[in-house]
Amino acid sequence: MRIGFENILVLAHAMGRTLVMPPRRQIAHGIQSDTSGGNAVSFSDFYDIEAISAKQIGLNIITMEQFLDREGLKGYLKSNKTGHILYPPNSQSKWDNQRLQPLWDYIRNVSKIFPWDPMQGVLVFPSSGTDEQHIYSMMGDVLVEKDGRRFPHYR
Amino acid sequence: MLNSIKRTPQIPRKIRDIRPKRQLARNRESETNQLQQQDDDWWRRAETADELTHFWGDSAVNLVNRSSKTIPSKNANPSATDNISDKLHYGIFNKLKQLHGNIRHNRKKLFWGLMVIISWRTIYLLDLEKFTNAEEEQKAHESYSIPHDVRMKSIEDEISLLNEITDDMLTSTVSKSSSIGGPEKHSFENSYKHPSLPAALRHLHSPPHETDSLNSQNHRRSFLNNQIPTPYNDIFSKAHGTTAGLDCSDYGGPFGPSESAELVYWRDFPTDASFTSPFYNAQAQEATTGSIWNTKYLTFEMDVSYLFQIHFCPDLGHHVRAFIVLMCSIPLYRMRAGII
Repeated sequence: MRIGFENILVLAHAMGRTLVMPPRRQIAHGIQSDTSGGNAVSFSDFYDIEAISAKQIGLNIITMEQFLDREGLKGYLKSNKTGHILYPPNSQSKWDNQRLQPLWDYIRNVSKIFPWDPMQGVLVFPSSGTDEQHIYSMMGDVLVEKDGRRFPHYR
Repeated sequence: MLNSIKRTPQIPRKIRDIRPKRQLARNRESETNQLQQQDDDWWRRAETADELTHFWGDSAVNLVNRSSKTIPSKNANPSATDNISDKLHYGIFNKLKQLHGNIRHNRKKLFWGLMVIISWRTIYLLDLEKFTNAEEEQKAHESYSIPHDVRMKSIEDEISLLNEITDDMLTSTVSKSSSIGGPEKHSFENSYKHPSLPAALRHLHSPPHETDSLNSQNHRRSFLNNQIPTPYNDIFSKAHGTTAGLDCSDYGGPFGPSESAELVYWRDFPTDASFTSPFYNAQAQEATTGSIWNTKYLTFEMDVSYLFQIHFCPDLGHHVRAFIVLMCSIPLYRMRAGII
């Protein structure tokens, strides 16, 4: 979970997108009850999310509640299949410590999901706007084993 | 009478008749000056037969004979060797003079000839360099063409060696109460000669409650300063700040940046904070609502994956010196391709 969150931070930073943090929820492996009596945790309990968002110029982080208030409840999100406007389930923006399956279903309907098999592809981001061609040529060099090294495999 | 005819009145010199002084060797220069004094007409070239007859009185006079005539020999009977040497010297000089004239005349041919030679030489050197590079590249390919199993075996050997070193250091840490100042420490220090390890060992073998706390801090600082040299150490040393803005003084310490630096293992890189992706559009991403810009978001589902815990368990077992019972092979839902 920790390393997954770090990867998500890097992805959002590399793609220049605003990162939407998930609601608080219960996690496995015996997180004990906090002072308020609940056992739902969030990444903000372990990381200073606001400080990260403020310090990194190219990274903006908002909560799921802010995202739903800003986009979902105002009708800016449309279905990928029908193109119709979709609102959050029950027009609800606060999902902390609740069953999140309806929310994730809604998010999947209004967002683009790119299938990615880590065994079949790699994820590369250019460091500048002029490096795209270089990335394509570099991938071509890897495929044809230009420098003599064999194509990597995981078996 | 004949001599008086030879010594005709001096022809007034004209600028066009003045010829440059011949360049001779230093040892011949004094002799040449002496000859010039004896023959004032050395610069005058007789071109017609009448002039030759007028000057020399002989129709068969040539330049070589002229020189032999104008140079009065000191001996009554000049030897044959002197005449031969004079002829030889003057012949070489004449040939050189003709060669010089030919060179001046054919300087274009000479220039282009040199250009062709230089071009051939350049092409030859380029081919030689290309051939050398091709050989080096081939050698590099040979190194890459090591079988995969052999490469993996070497990597595994390196990992096992690192594990052994780590194991020994942890062993010395766990059993430091029995090995403080003992012979085991000495042998361990002698077994590894890396300059950073003695400082690390001093830190590891230090008593748990050392009276001189400042001294222990110095040990730790020396260990931190004597890190294994890597290309990144220089970058770390030049990075701005050592505590990345961490201040725990309100939470019971550590107090001061020097003490905090011992806890923080990361550094603050201002360039990282100022980096923006080429896909980042500040006007779009910082717009709140009602803007013409479409803000792009990235959402993710909070995962409860256990892969991190799986690889954490062997580390934990290793640190607590416990037997690790490996579980059965199970498919990981995030790794569909295989079973670990």
